[in-house]
Amino acid sequence: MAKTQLQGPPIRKDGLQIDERRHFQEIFWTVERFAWIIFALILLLALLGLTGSGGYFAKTTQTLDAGTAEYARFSRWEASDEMRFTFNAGAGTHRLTIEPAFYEYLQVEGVQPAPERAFFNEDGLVMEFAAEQGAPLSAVLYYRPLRPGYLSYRVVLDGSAADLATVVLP
Amino acid sequence: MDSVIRGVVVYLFLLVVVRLSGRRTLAQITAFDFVLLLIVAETTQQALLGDDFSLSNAFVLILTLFTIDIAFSYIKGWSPRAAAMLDGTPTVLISLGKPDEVAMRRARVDLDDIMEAARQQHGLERLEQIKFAILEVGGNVSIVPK
Repeated sequence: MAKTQLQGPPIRKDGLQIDERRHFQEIFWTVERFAWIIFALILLLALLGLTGSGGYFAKTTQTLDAGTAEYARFSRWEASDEMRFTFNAGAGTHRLTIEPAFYEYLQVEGVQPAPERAFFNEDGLVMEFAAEQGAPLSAVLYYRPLRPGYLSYRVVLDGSAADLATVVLP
Repeated sequence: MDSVIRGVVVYLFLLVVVRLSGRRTLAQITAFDFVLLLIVAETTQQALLGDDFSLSNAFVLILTLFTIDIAFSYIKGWSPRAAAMLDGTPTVLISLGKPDEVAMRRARVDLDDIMEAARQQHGLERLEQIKFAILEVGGNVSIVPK
């Protein structure tokens, strides 16, 4: 390091003493332009919803015999998100079960409407919602991811199960 | 641990993005640059702190950022190649009065920028009064008059 400082930068043909490294610059300018394309592609992916928080691919819906589960494919660490469970018209009481793996990654901030009762059984946390006989019901679960990673969990709507997966981005 | 990882990741990400964005106008901030700087600063602050506004978190983050900065200064001292990668190198835009159009285009500097620097630094009036114009590592254009 000391030797380089004592020698100083090289002197160019035009007399200017400067360490321009033009070849390096040429390569870097090309890398720069390539990086800008990557930036644009990442923005495009974000607009499509592949980085969570809205967009066409951010959420998906899985249809079950007893209803539908609309959930996020991509959530963000420490950012609130929601999933919606819609029960088909039928019994007066609808039952939503979510396995414990869900709660290891996600902190539930609230459920709308509030369940009539909640309890644990061997499948996980069971929430029971009341509805008039023959009326459909939609329940929204608000959550907040506790850590980034890939989360796979099972939900059961009135006895019909579905395996869902959410990627929690850092 | 989380604070240190956040600090390192955010620092490196910003370093890469700022370096690759090729923004060499940091020395002369325009209105757009100022807005960009404010937004980036606010966004970075939230990403760094998360929900933890404790003094401990702030102290650990500040120490993390300064330590990375010191580490990089040593790396740059040891390796000129690393220094060129991290800081960039100066670019000669005008040599012996002749503009290098390729360099100017690729560095996104036009003659107006050069003339502005010439007026500010030496009170020059015309392009032909400039012998050398160099886009420095810090983003400013330095002028050597004839």
